[in-house]
Amino acid sequence: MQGAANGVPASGADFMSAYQSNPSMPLFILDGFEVSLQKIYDLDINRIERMTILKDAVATSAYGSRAANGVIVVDTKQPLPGRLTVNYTSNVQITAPDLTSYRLLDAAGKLEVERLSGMYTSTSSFASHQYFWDKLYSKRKADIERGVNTYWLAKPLQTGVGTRQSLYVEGGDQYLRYGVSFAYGNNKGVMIGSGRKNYEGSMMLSYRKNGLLVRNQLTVNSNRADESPYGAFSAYTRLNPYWNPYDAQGKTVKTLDILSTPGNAAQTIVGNPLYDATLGTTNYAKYFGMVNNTMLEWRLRNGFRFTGKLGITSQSDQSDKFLPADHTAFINITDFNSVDYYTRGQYNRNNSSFFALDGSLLLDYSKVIGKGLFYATLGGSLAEQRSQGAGFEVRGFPNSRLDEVFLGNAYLRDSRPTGKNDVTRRVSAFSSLNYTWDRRYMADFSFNMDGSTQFGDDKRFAPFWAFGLGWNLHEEAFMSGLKGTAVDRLKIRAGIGTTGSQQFSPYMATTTYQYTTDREYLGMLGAGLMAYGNPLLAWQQTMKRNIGMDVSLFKERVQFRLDGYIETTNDLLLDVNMPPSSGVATYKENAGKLENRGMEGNLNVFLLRKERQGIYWSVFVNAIHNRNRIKEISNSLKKMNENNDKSDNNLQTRPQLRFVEGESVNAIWAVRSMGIDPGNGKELFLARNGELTYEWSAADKVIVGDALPDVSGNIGSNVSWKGLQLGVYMSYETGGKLYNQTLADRIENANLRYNVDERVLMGRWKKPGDATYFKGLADLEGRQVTELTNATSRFLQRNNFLDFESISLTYNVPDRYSARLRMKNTRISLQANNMFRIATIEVERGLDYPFARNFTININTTF
Amino acid sequence: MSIRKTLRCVLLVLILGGSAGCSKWLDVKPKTQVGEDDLLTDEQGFKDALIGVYTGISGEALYGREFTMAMMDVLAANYDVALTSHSYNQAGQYNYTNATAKSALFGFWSTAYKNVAGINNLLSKIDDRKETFAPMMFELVKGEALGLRAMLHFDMLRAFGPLPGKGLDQTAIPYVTRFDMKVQPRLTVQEVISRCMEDLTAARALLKVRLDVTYNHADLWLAHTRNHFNYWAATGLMARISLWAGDKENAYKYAKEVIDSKKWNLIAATAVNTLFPDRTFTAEHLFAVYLANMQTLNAKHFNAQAPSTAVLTNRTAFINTRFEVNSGGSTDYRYLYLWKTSGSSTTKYPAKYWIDDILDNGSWLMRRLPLIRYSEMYYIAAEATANKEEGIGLLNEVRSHRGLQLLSTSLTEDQLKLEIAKEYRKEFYQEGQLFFFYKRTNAAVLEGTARPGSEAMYVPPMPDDEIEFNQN
Repeated sequence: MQGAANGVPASGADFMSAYQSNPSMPLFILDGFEVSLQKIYDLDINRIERMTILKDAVATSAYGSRAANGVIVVDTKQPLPGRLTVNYTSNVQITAPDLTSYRLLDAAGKLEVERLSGMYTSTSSFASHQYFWDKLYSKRKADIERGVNTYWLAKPLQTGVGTRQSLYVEGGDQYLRYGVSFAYGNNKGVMIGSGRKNYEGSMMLSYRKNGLLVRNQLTVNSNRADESPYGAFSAYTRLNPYWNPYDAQGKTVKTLDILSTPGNAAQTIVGNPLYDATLGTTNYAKYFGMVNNTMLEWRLRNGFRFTGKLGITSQSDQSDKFLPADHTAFINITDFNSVDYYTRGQYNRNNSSFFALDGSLLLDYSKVIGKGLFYATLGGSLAEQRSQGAGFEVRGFPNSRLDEVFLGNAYLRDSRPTGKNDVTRRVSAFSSLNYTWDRRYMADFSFNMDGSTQFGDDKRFAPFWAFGLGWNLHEEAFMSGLKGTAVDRLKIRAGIGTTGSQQFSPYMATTTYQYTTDREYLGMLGAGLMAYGNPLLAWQQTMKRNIGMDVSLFKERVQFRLDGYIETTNDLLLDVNMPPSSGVATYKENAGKLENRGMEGNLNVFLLRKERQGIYWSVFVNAIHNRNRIKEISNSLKKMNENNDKSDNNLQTRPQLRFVEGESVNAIWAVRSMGIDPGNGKELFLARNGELTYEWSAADKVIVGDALPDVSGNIGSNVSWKGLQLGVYMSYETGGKLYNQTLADRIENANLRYNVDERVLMGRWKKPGDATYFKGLADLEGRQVTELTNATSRFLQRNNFLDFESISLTYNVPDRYSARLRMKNTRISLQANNMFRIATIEVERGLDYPFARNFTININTTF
Repeated sequence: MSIRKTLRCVLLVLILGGSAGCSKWLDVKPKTQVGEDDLLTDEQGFKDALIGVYTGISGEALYGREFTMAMMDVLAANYDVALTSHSYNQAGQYNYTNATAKSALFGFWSTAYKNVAGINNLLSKIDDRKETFAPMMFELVKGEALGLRAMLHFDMLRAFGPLPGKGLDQTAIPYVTRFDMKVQPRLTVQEVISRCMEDLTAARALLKVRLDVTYNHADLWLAHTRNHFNYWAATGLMARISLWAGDKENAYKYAKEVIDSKKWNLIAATAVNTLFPDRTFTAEHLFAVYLANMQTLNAKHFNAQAPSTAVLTNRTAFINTRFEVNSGGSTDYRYLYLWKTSGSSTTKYPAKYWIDDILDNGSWLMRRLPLIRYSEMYYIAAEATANKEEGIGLLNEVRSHRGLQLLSTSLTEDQLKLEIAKEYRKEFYQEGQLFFFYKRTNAAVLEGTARPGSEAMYVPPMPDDEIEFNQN
């Protein structure tokens, strides 16, 4: 049965949404080899045979230090013997942008906000300055009255439609099997002109005779991704709605406005990003890659099995970006006589290549001795990755016809090529022992040594071990009455183990010099100190203790799994602050202890199960509860607390991290707020000593909430009725708090020169007597309020949400219909992602790229 | 059977034997990074590390801009930064808590000590590798390192230390000689000075192997003596330090040693009134740093391209007063050739570092920023000598090489002092030394601003991080 029934995401898109933004991404293994998340995403869902999630210390110990966040093992279907079978999949994907979460002002509203904030009131004594502002105001008002009200957000967007076609041919006999596949994909993004094209071909060959199995898979793919000529979406969110991108004749203008302050020669020219889209620009990245995985497995007669694997990956990338002279990127170069004017226009070219090699040898042994089963594994692996690249920039492209890198005028003045040349290597050895007695009692032990170029000289190799015990109660004699009827499976397990959860750069353990390549001294290049290398630096070790149980009841109608864990990290790697006279600002020490406790549960219930009619209904829930506590910190963290109280660089507009012994790392610190004073529009704060004050002070910060939710997880359901299947997958969180940064950045700290959220006009205080949630635009004297809003409890909100991540509907065409066309296993499915979200906080969904929903229609059949 | 045995062996070797051979295989360093055990093993490595120090100190945060032509001269009231939007406006009012001023001060401190750490690490390993050096090179590398250490500490003392006039037993700065994470205590002015002198004496003993001053040599290290910390730079610095400490005898002694060496000359008129003028008077640099990016610095501050928030120049009235244009100073080379108009504007800009018009001619005239000048030796000797006539004579020696009339021998002591002060103001424009002259003499008024000097003004605060983490 597919993963969906067990609460595991059922498709590549689900994986992306579940893991893409996960900072603790697990390790993905596909057919025995490590792959990236992108590979799993691109995998045809119909090719997946089995997907297993490994979390506890013993299960992940085979993968060593890479498995700190769990391992997801995916196995694809192997070709079947018999005649040639052809499998065809066709897929249409629609990406639709959704702008409903953005609430920006319209033209009249923006002008009004500017006026109320005092922008058109001159602060100087010169009459000519006030005249300047009056003239500007009248001009803008006249434009608005003529009907100018541009909704910029929608201008660069489209509904992207894409497709993916793939063909898979397989065949073979008892000994030799083969499979060949081709795929073509063409996806369009929500920004006009953006998209992704992908071609892929692969060949799989396997030979099996007696105890020997040899398998080889070769994949070749080519990919090109284009960026939109309309530029970044974030630029459109800032543009003022009283600016018109077209002139009276309907032509696209280049300059929207020239911003200046009277009395100051400096000016900023605002360019029209829509104008850029009318020019010929180039912005793409492409790559060509090849992956070859070979596996050899040899089963010897006496219980030994030997496995060898070798994987080779090679990829070469190129990226090009071309902007002609007329592009708004150069709009602020106004001196027609300067050299800069003649060298407008740029072309950036970057080439890089990547090569990786991954090999492993494994030996297992299994033996039955009486009632006991003994299983041992011993193995080693090594891997190397090489990454090289170089890039350069050329300037001077007067028009968009000359869009080749060699047609430019000259290299960017005083520039040098950029590039890299990195090699990392990894070696690890692994062994494990497993003993099961009478199918009832189990003991596991595993040991693993990892070495990597990323670790310091003295501590190159790090050992990790794990030990576990298990008890299959359902095999016990006293359970035999229940077994087969009520209880199918009841296993209790406990484990303890260590994992390493952080790698540190080699220059933290050895004093290292770095050559300054961007400056010469009389023709010589110097090498400067990078940092103080602490030779005593050791691995950060996490000790995991867990206890859990797996239960399956009522003929697998109810399955559930419960785990409790305590993780203690000792020797936490932290920065210790030094006075600058020591030559460095910080250096790394093992100086901290962190403890994580939690519980995790997983429940899958079949509410309906009628096998004969083909009717099933299952519901799954999983939940995690986690709490952490700092046991000990070094003086550097105490210093960081103080630094975060200073007001440099507008640090205080976001609640800063603050570590205190005994508290959680996710605690949110802010000053308690009593709201906005209706008399003057200022915020009233509660100081630590209980007094009310208008002054914000870092010393008054207290813990106002915790970002960690009480419970978080996923919920979903699957319904099958004859050939139809409906699946819903949601994620939820409850009990956590979030500092609503959107409100602070977009409403109170917004730059009024550009467009802002509509609540700046509606929700902010304007005159005495207004009882509002947001503070005033101008103070009682009419002067614009420029003080920033610092961390306040006013913006702390409960963050409970239920996110409908994906819904899918599948129809399996019964074979008797499709047999007429000689097809079988035909399946049509529809899927939608990010349908909607029920939440207590409305957060703006992304400024750099617009929020969009994905709909996919998929047809799959076999000949 | 044998297959099984072989397999077992292979795996055993893999697991156990692996660690030794594997460690080497795992020892990969990125191309541009080198561990100290690999770098500081031979002559080239030590030289690379020392060049790293030169590159570091000639960065914009220290000698490459802020400590010389920008912040330090703003503090000496050399520029007109009255425009409220000017980035140095607050610094010009000695508001040391302003963000720009604070960050510049932090830049001085952290850059200086960071490079002191580099020097200390180098010195801790150089003695063991002496045999890898070619003849003379060991002495030069070690001597330069010691000299630079003294110079960096002394400049931090001059900037952040207390007024020397108030006595030498006040607490000043830490003097760091080892690169380990042990916090060094702040020493008194006298202690810092004696440590500097110790380092400089040791440096001179080593640098003595090469007294020649060349700019042309096949060996890149020996070419451009003036841009390495050489024997004469060490001597000149000792003169300067002695004067700071009020030790006139030694100041005179060291200054005279440089003057009498016959290795140095003051410039002639032909150096400046040609097609390719040598505006920084390169021949007179006892020690100057090399700035590869001189052109961008000019565009930032010293010509018509400079934005109004960053331009560093002054009004014509100021220039006329400074150079006494109406009372005999109009022939001064420093007035005639070092102030130019740029583009179509009539504003005059300080042109000392301009190089666009001399790019075609020999590279050794450009991109140098003097830190210790030969002319300063004359000034120090003139100030420190007991003999007033000798002092006037020394001052006249410089004046005659600057296009100025000679002073009368009948000047009084006070008048001589005044003339010396005027020379400091004219000579060291854009070089950051004037502020230290005012601080050393506790000048009552800063010319050009009518601003009264005060202790708060002359003693900027140390960076917060130093005060917080160095409780000693």
